[in-house]
Amino acid sequence: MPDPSQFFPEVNRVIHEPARLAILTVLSACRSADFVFIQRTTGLTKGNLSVQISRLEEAGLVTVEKRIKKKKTLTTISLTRTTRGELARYWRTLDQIREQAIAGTMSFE
Amino acid sequence: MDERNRLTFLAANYDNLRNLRFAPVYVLLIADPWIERLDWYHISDRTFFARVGVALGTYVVWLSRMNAYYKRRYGHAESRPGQPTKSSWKDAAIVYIFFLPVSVSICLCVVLFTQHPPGMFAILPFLLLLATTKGLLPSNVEMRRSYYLAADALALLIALALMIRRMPGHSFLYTYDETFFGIIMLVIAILDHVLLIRTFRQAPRDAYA
Repeated sequence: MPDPSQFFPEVNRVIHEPARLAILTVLSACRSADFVFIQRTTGLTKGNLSVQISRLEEAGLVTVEKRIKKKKTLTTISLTRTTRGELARYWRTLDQIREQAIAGTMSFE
Repeated sequence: MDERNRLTFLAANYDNLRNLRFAPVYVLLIADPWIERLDWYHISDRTFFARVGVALGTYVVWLSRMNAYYKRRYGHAESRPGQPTKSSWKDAAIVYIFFLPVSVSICLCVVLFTQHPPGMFAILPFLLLLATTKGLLPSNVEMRRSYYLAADALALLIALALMIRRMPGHSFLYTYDETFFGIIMLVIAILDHVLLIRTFRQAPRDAYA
């Protein structure tokens, strides 16, 4: 079976996952957001959101800051300095794939 | 609105959509003609400061309660200052399209009706335009843009009717102009709040599981 990557450019797999892409989209439109805000905007469950944020933090795409206020943990998440560039590159790659796919479809017609 | 636009819109405009926090200011604007009728010259300093204190206290309590409500229910997001938009030239154009006719109309009224120069109310459309500029931007969602546009058109009509002073009932408008502007701002704040709730409700229920 041929390797699909020889036809299409490689996308960042960490960003490509829909839940993580939704989190990064929210964070790219603001400076920082807390856990509740991301949960309410994306509609993710607490457990799923927590796992996805950990994955993004491991990949160095977000920074997580935890503070204790009135015996409650406040989690604030923001993008790292390089993530906006990574996201822009991701969208460009998707555009390239779409253009290639359209060109491929047209060549068959 | 697709999911990407919904997420971006909420994160970028969360601060602006919590417009209901300023409701006491709009209520004060609505009540201004009646406040002016109070006998301010014959009341003691203590009564005056007590009234101002009660008004300020009410506003501070309302603001902190509303902030707590939004934070508990929808969380907190810090907006990015000076966020560049893709359609910045269009944004600038729409602001000028609104500012230009207002400025020209006010100048014309001053020249043509010098025996009745416009009073302080001439400033109100400018203030309203400044307050609603963000709502008019093409980068905003269509629904929000349309009710801001309707509010601005209404405010301009009232202002022009007041300046020309040939419309029946203009003296009523002259007395209650601030009330009308207060009502417009309060209605906008309520609509912003409804839009905020509605946009949050459109979140898919763990669609990314």
